[in-house]
Amino acid sequence: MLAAGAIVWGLVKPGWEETLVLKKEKESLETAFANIKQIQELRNEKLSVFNSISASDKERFDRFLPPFEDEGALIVMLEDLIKSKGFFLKNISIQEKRDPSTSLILKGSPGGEYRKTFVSFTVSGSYGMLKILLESLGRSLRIVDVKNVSFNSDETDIYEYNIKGEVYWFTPKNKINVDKISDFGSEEVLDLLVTLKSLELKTDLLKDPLFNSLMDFYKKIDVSDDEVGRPNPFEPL
Amino acid sequence: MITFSVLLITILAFLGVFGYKKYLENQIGALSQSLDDIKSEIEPNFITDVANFADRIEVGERILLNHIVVSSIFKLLEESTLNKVSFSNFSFSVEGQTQGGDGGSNKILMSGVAGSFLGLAKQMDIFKNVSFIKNAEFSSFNLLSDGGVNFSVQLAIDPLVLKPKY
Repeated sequence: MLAAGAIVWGLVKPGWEETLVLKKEKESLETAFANIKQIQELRNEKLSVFNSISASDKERFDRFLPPFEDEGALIVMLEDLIKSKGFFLKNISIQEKRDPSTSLILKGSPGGEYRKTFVSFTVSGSYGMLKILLESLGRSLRIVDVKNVSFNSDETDIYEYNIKGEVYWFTPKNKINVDKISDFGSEEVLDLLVTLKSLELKTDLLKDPLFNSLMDFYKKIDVSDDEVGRPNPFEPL
Repeated sequence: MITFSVLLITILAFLGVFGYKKYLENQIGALSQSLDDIKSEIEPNFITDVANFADRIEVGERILLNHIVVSSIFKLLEESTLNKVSFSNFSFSVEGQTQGGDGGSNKILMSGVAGSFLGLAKQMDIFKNVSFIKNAEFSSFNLLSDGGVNFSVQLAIDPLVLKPKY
């Protein structure tokens, strides 16, 4: 009886206590496994939608709403467009600023950094040319919302037009902290699961006839090696 | 006999606990391995890219919904201007935000000259009755020596006119 008592007290009891700890650990891993399996399934589901978007559609969308400011490309695009319609471009200015009203226009939108870039330019040309230019601006894939147009008419057919517009860009705010997810602790896993469940990747815009009717006037800016470097940057051109 | 039975049960309990512990350790090892395998497939960076793209699409939809095109205004003005009326200046502005073309204030200010008061009255009548103009206010009438009449006009434009067409 004493030997039995010693075995129970010395071996069975500590062993049982260890199994209780292991059981709890196993249950915790099973929960994490179930969650991660769900994440994997959701991730595969979103992946198939994301992969169904062609590279050309993704590129077109990037031109439509860049995730970063692109003043240089914007100026080149506008200059090209204005000159292609036969206008004489007198001046152009671009001013980027955060505008609180942007959050009104985008009320209910996902978090992120909204920016408006205000563009204004003065051109001279005929009245017919103005209509063609405004039509082209309205059809530009890089959305230009013309908010002001003013001019005076005179005896000649050539008028000077002041045009002001707004273009937009948007940098999304990362919903998922990738660094935190690396250890797959239960809290981070649940956060990721919630994010994935609420993630709805809509592709209707890319099939919208209006979106597809917009024209891409983007002009890639290339700088060749032989254009770079000047012994005296202050010497007149 | 009782002592032997108790000892036997105790030994069996020890073996049972030992065996169950080994079983749990194996299960934990297998689960940990499976978790590691799935973790490497999840690619959180990829999920971030997809989430960001989804957000950008949503914002893009709103921007397209609020997009305005002003070129159609000129065609409507041409169709609504008497052939004996001439405008000497034009100023169009959008004030406030449009929400799918339903809000905001879109104004045109112009100065012009009509051939006569009768011509001006006809132009007033046209501007007050065309659907793309929500409100027309004429002012600053000034009779010219040749019988013509200078005037100013402020037009409130229906935001739907600015909606892009494809």
